[in-house]
Amino acid sequence: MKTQFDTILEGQKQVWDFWTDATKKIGEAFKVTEKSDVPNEGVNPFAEWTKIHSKIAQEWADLYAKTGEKLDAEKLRSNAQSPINAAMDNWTKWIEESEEWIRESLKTLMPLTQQLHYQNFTDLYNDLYKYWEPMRKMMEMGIYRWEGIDRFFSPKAHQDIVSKFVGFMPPTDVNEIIKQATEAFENFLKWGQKGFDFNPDWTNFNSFYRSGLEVNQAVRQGLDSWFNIAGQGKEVEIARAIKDIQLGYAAFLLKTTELQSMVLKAGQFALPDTLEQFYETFLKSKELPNYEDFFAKYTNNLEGYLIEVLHSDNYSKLQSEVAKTGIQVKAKLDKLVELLFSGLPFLMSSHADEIGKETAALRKKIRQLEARLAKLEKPNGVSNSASAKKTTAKKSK
Amino acid sequence: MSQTPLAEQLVEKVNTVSEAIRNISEIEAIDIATTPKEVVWEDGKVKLYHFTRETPPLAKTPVVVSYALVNRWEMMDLQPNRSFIRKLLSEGLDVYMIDWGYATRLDRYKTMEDYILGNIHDCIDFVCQKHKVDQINLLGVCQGGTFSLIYAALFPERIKNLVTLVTPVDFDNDEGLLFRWARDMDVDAVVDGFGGIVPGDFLNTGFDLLKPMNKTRKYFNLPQTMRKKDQLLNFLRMEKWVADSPDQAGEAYRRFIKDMYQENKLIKGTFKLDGMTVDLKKITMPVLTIYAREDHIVPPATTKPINDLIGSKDKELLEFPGGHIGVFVGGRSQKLLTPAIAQWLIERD
Repeated sequence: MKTQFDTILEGQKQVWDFWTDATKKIGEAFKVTEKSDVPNEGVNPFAEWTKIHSKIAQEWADLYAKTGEKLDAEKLRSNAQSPINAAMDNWTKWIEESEEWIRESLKTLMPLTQQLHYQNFTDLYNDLYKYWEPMRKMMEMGIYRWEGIDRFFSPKAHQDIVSKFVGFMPPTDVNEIIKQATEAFENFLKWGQKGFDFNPDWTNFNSFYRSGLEVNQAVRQGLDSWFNIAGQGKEVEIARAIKDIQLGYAAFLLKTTELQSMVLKAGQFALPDTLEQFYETFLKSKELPNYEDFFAKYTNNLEGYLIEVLHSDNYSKLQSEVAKTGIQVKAKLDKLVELLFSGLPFLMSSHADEIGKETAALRKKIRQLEARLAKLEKPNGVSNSASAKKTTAKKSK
Repeated sequence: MSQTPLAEQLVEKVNTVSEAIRNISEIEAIDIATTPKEVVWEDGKVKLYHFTRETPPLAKTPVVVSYALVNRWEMMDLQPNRSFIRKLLSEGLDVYMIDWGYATRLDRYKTMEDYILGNIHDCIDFVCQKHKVDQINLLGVCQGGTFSLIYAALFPERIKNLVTLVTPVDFDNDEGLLFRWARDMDVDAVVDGFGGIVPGDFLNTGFDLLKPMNKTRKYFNLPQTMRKKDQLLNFLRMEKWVADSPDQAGEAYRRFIKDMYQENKLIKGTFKLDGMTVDLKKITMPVLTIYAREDHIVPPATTKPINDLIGSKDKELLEFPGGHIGVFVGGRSQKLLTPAIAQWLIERD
């Protein structure tokens, strides 16, 4: 039998549904997809609306909760909560979509390198948040040693997080990477020896490549010898260079792994420390931090441990070795490209170096001549104007 | 810890997002180095800028600024309301800036001699002729300050007053990570491996690691930064400057790392430029040496010895309460530092 109380609830539910729907529509109205969408008055009306109605919502929920103590509490609370949850979902959706717009718009205002750093931070922040609930539990229950932590937060996940903090690309399975790299180099060697030959498989997904293959094959048949990019003698040199790069790259991977492991090992203490610090605070105040406070503290603790290892002799030497091996691989790759294109009329870096050497020698010569001229001019009282190069360039702001 | 009720947190969140959307939508372009100036001299990629003055200067002797090769001089004119350059101008100085340009592969053999005996010398020559003076005031910043010390020691007669700003002279230091790491660097492998041009990104990777969590913190604080348009603009200006890191001419880089960071030749009196030994005792003009107390890039211990090494009678050490970047863009720089520099130069004009 329908009671008076049920009637009240139904009425209230209709109001809640209407209000939830209104929230959704208002959120849609203020959703920003392009800069031109932003209303002249900004989006403050939505903020104001939110302010007023969130207070109403909270008071309503409080009223239900208090009334529920006297009436059917469970039925009341569950009925009161679901409209609030629906409204919250709309607000959350608006916030998430707006934050996405903000992130993407900010990136367009940043240089490319900074966009990558910003994206890395966003990924880090979101990835760590996935473990927030378990970490709250750990702080509450006093789990702050790795034996307990790793049930919720695996060493691999920890490695990924710390790597994102520092900006590393995690080495993962080095043996697998070396194996893949070796295969790639072997394939490249075979490809180089064949000359530039379109892989027929490419044509399957792009008609442009299909046309390119046909043209290539027709020209090859007519001018076959022109497509021997590397001369006979150079093939051996190219093969040797590729093998050299392969070994160098493997050495670079191993050294990089060693360096990153050193940093990750040092950083492993930061998470337990952070959890322990908040647990101790919880014991006194019964208050747990929010995610932002946790993130800030973890960042500070991690930096402390990292700086310690960065100052060590071992790190400094290893960092230098990693830089050296990596740069040497790059240098060998540059040399390989020059070998591959040596028969073609392209200006290579080594040609630019010859020009640079000449320029440097000329600069030195001019300086010497200017100095001699200055000495000669001085006794005659002539001003030293040899090096003045005025410009008629326009004013720049 | 935050114990704000849910409703207040929600409202705060919506306010943060709303304000960020409004502020971002109003930003069209990120401009830096907006103080009016003109190019008055150039040689290849190197330019000399003269900043425009509205009124006659209070000091007759012009100031030539020699910034570091690493990063760009625009840090000194990053934002209009906290521009080191604008402040110097408003304090009555006539200011020139050497812009080193962007080194390319063709510059791989450019040496420290080319920069100091060539570009700096030629710029000073030009300014002296233009103003019909025999001497200028030289203001050297960071590595540009080291170059300025070398120049002033070789040609003291050309320099009326010398100001060095966060300038390293004693490179035997373990406090600064850069100094620590540079000693272990195989600089020949780095320079030759990169084909004689050391990428700016390579240097930036090292700078980022000096305080490994600074990047994380700045993006973490971004939601609050975005709530104020001027703060957001300044953040974006700094992002623009950080990314604008020129490549380094290999030979000059090699020499600087070897002779300064690794062998500390300047302080030992064994550094030579084009066969001339650089003796810091030959610096006899008035010198103002400024260091930043919390400088993690050029720790104070690497700068302070300047005062003991030079031959000047009129010399002063000035401590700035901030960090390496703060000397240029901080509020305290505007209130304390630039007026002090201007006053010091005007008194000795």
